[in-house]
Amino acid sequence: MPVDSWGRQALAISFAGRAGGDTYRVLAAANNTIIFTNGVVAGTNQAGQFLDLIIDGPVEFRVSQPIQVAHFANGSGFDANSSLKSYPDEGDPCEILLPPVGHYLMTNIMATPEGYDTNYLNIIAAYSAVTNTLVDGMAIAATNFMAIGNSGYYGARLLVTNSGVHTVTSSQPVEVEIYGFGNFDAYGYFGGIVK
Amino acid sequence: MPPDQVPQFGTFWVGGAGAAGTAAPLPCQPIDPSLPIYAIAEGQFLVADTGGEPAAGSPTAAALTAQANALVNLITQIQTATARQRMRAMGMDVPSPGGDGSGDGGGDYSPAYSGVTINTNLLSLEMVAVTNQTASLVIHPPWDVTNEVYDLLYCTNLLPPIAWQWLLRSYPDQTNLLVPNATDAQGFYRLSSANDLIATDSRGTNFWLMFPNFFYNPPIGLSLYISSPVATTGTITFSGIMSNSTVAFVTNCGDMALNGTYTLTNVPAQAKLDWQQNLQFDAADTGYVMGTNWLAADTSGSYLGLIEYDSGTGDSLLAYYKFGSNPNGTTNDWMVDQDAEPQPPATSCQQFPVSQSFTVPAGGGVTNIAIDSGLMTQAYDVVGSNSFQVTASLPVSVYGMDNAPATSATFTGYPTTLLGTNYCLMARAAGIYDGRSEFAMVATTDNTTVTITPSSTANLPNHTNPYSTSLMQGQTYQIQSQSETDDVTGTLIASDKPVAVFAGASLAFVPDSSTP
Repeated sequence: MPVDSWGRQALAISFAGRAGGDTYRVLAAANNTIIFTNGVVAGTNQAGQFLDLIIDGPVEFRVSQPIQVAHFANGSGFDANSSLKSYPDEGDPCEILLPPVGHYLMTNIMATPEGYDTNYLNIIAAYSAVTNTLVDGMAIAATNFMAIGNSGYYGARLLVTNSGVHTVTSSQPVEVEIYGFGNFDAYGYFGGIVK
Repeated sequence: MPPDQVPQFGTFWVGGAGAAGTAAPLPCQPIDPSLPIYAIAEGQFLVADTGGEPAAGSPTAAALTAQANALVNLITQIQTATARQRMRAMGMDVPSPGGDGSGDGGGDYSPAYSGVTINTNLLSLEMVAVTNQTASLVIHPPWDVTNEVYDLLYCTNLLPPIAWQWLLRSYPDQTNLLVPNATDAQGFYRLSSANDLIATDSRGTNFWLMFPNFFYNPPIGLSLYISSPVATTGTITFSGIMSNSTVAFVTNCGDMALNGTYTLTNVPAQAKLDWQQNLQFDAADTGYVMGTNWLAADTSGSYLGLIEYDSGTGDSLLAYYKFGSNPNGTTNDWMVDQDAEPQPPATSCQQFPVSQSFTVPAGGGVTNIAIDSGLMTQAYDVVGSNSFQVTASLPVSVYGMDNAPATSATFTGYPTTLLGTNYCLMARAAGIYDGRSEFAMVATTDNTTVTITPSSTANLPNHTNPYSTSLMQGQTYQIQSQSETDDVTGTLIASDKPVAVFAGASLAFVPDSSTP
């Protein structure tokens, strides 16, 4: 993303079907960028510097100056023995750039490719939009949503079908990641961004 | 205004003793015809429903004073907005809010200005009903305006400063709008010109994209997912190659055997001799790969040949050739050799640039476009043209997919409106022998100068200091680190015109080199 599309707040929840957390890389464009994760200082970056973190569960990044955050799935060896997976070699790295909070799309229409064992959506919505966020026209059970720190946003993970079109709409802009895992394989991308 | 001059329809703001604050306006004259009505702006009217002068100091007077102040502010806003609309209609620049410094907002309107009724010359938004918490709205564009795009805005009260919230953008053929979650006791909808209040987003009508060199295990499946909530048509145009790229992409040939990917190779001397003597290359020749189609350039740059592999004989034949070193051109530029007389080919063979159309069906969705694997840009540190342009009749999202066993990769495409001239690269070290940290870019405009400042960990071949390259529209540039431990993250890319930039690792271990 161009630097003028970066933001000061980013949100994510861990990828479904994987254990032990995901890898995040936080990149700064300005000197002395102080990075908070879930309200705690995680580090300070100089311009062009990055901070790699492994975080399990919901995470809110807040910073003093604009950042770009990338959300990586770990290699299958990272959680080979997890009961969340069908077999040890399921999973692989993939990278999804996180759009900053306040720069999400209201309508996200995406597709899952063929040939993956599992495909998921990670959806992040403001509290007031949770009940109005629809996946393929269907509401998401409120119990699927988890709070993301004190951000006022909630995240849900949903299993979706292979080789299909999936539409996420909401009364307010939402962050959508779509991803999937196979044998030493993974893909992932995000729905879009409003500048 | 004299009662007989008050139009039947308009926006009527009612000022009365009962309301605390400014209430929603009426779309037509109030029921009580005796109330005084004042014109405050084009189509905007103030209805005095105060029931006469209240006693000074009474609660009613205080409420009325507060309401009057709010109303004055509101009138100012309405008149300013109306003035801006008129200026826009006259093609004038619109000052930003507060920018004129006068604060009187529309002093050019005389009190005697008479309003207009809503008619087919005007844009209006009809609020039909709220059913099951869904508001039904209808756009009535002016009779002579078609395919205009509007943003629908919303707020819960009109007390300044009004916090208009963007709700949705209409599509050009859309007049009926449905707005969910209409649960507020009071709400106001407004149509605005697209982009008045929100900036651009990743849905667009013009994209310049490329597939950078992903490491992959065959078979690779490149595709584009193009999505839209409504029916949309568009075109993908492949730029073709320049003479310094390494692959060519040919499609739509009448002779189907010619379709496919060609590797640009210098014709070996022995092969040229064979062709001159026998009009064919044979398997005994070395220096080129038998079993594949390839594009040949002679070492002097004076001609190009499309070399077709004949699986029946095992020979490679020169199918067509053209003069010069640029494969872009029209059909008739390509010749076949017949009796030593150059002739246009007997079959029609479409040359670069090549276009194909796509359609997102009615009701919206995703269309999946398979892309020939030859479109992946494989050359490093050279200027190439293996890009493609996606144009669409309505805004679409474009996602790139590389579906290959254990080596898949994806990207979310940005339209030209969202591209920038200042990038700080997010990538990572590969951490695995076959992978490399790398980045690539496509220029969207001719004569784009790009300056690359490698990060301290980038370890690019031949470039340790900042360097520049010049690109024409659709031209690409790609480079990767020299070893699997290098990382291009933090590398700066500055350009004098917007470019599309891709960065990452062709293959990587995450979180570190010990994690397969």
